[in-house]
Amino acid sequence: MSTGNNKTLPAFEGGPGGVYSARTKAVDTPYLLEVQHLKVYFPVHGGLFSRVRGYIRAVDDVSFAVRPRTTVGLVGESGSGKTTIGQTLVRLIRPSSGSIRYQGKEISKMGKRAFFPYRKKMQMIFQDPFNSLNPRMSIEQILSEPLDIHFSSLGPGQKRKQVLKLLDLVGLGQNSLPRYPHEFSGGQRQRIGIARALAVEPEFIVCDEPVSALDVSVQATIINLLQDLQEELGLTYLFIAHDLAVVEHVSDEVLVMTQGRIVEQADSETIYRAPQHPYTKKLLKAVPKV
Amino acid sequence: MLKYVFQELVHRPLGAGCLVLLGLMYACTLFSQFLAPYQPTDQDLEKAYHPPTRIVLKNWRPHIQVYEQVDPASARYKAVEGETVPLRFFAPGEEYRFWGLIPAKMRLFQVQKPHRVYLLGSDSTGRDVFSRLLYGAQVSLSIGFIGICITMTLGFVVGGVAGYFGGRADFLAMRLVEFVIAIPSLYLLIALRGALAEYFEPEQMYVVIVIILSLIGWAGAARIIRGMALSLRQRPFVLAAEVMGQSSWKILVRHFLPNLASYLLVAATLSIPAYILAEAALSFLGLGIQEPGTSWGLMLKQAQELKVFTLNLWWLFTPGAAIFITVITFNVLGDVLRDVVDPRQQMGR
Amino acid sequence: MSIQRHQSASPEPGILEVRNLCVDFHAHGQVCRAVDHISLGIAQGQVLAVVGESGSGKSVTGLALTRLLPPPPGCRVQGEVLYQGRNLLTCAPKELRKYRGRHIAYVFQEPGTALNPVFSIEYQIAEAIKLHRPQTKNPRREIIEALDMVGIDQPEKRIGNYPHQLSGGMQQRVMIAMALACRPRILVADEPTTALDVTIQAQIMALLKDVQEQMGMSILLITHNFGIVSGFADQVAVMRQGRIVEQGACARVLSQPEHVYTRALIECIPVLGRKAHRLPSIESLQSETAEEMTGHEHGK
Repeated sequence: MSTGNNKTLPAFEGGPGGVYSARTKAVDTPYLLEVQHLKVYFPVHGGLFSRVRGYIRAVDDVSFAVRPRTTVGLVGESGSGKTTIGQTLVRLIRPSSGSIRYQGKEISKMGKRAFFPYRKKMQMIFQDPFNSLNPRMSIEQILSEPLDIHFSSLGPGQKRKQVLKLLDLVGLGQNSLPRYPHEFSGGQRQRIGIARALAVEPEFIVCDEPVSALDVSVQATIINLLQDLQEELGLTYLFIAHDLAVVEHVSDEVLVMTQGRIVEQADSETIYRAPQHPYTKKLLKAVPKV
Repeated sequence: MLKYVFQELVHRPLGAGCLVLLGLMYACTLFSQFLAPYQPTDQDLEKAYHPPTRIVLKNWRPHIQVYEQVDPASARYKAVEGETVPLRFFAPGEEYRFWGLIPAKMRLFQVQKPHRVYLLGSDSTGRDVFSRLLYGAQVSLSIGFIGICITMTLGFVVGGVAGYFGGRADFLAMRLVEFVIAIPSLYLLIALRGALAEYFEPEQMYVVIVIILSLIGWAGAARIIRGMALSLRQRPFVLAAEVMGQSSWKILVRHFLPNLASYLLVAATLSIPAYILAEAALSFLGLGIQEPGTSWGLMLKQAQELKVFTLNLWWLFTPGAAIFITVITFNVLGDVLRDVVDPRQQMGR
Repeated sequence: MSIQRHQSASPEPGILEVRNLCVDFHAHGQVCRAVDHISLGIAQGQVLAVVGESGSGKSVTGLALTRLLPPPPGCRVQGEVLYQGRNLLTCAPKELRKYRGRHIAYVFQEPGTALNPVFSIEYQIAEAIKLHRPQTKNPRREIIEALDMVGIDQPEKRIGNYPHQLSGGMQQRVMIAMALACRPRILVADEPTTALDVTIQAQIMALLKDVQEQMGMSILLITHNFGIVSGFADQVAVMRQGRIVEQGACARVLSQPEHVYTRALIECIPVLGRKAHRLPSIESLQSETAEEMTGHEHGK
């Protein structure tokens, strides 16, 4: 693993006011998220009594750290384990071993109730715009759901105002409220997904291939939106993708992953200028050049 | 979504026709006591097996032809020439309780006693078949409806829980489902009825039958719903709900149920006929609704005499026609519903 | 927005010629014109790329060539598609079947759904061979050769595999093998790499180039990504809202785009090493009905 020049980043401070409530201050660590020796193994059943025959090592001893208000890009092919890491961070999958520390506190072994407050801090944006929104719910219902869970004291008028603010953040108008997901294009649906993730006022967002399913022309608008939101709201991203060009554009630091392991880790300029690992070089070659 | 389904249904002639017909039938059951000229138990032994009374117009007003009995043994009646009795509308008849609560006397049409108006003839003890048909509709039509509601609810809960939680819950639920399905339904029906009968009065057999039918029917629905829940489970919007911290039950109700609703609607509509037929079969075997209650199945049972066939007392089979029409209407409606619902799924609405 | 049409004099007479193609979709009492008077030409051994966003009508154009769209009144196709002197849009169905697969083959976007999950890949490729070249004596050997040509290693072992046992890239290779099994003269590739990783994309494009040179095939490539077009296509046509806004030699269009839209499409691709703060983007003005109808027609 090689490390490039580390940019000096501002120490973590409270984010801007306005829509978002005051943030907690950092707890004696410069990192927002620390992952150490994370392993996610899936048992393979077989044989007469479905005994466990072996394991699929989806994530095999991965360690990295994310500084606040930065973007860490995670790049790799399908099956490299990058999506698994993302889903493990937001607790959709349980890790087999290893530690995940958020603002210094160990979260990987917490119970469901103890983890609940962290649902407000860590959110996820999904890849497939056509399946990431419930087709039977209106946009207003989709965006009100997280508010109902985490801000239950809001009255209906306040909730609606909040929903409108979220739509405004992602560039959609208030006529979207009564409409259903199928009435929107892929790019617009992805914006709604982003608005949904922002509803709980998170600090850290896992972006799981947010632009891979979109046209190249729409990718640009979504990437720009994500970057704008990061600046405005002081967000931290883990940006997962398979396209090194997109990742290099948005990330401060890049992790290259294959077969469950991180094979190279550097800031984005170094990855481009001086890739070390042969796999990284292969990824660079694969990027289409116009 | 329901609004959309309804609109689409109304635009299709078959769908609209079925809705109208079913609406009429269920409306009749609501007002059976008003529409029926007589109580279902109102006997007149002198007019057993009376054919339907002919209606004639005299001075632009409907009149009932008077008959006299020619041969009691062979139940033949002859119209008495010239003698008719006027038909009165909105006349008081025997007292009843409207919807079981409000006492009332008004009936849609009546004739002067001791004459009788038999729109569909009378049965072996002179009871009006038409009235019994209306009162029987209350039982036969509602049993299917209530039974289906219970079945689908049970099926959704078990299937949804099995599909969502997976693991041990799934395993246990499916073994239970297989157990229930494996038992032959007819025997289960009879056995349950035998077991439960002693705890209920004869008049409450209605409740017993509903319970039995629901307890048998839910397993098939549960299995299918579990399959659909399994595929829904992996869709990103369910994962998103989990990531935002939504509780499991709310996910089941807010995310799974609306997406399963179209299947549930179609399955329910297509299953109601089975329940109606099951009740008819039970009553036909003497295990269902019993006297003094009345249902279509019971009426068919009572029509099962040689006399009825040899003397061509066709009106005693009208309950069979009623069942037939109801079952076909529900089936056609279910078919149209399925068409309405399916292309919508593909369009991702 | 005025549309400047830049075309080289007229489409060179090639093996496939499209003249004034129009495709209308009828749904819910509305008519949507997905393709509006398109004219294209593909020469022998040439690669023509049709580039456009979702809803521009490019996939519909590809499907219209061999009447793969729904029949009227749901969908109406007008114009001419001339191949070997026959108008494919009006010839008899029996004749059309001769051309489909044998002369004009397709590769679709989602290999996972384009392959039948319950049949082995051997069966599926053999189906294509049996249909169009029934006199083939040893189809199994041909299948193994085809799999080898598309770069599947150990084809003798893989031949009995089912689609779900293969990765996305492999499935797409199998699709290409199926398309090539009948030695078509034209291959229509509708977004063949969109569902695949970037590294696999590069491999598949290299494979297509390889095969095209080997067999002297023409390729109609439909895509939204200008990136894969460079180095691959000879001619490019840029589509927007059912019309061609620019058309010409690939190198020229990429280096000196004449139309504003083409320029915007090229510029919004993230390029390595050029870390601008914001990516230039297009305010996509695609009509939603067009995207809904065409997008959902083809499961996008």
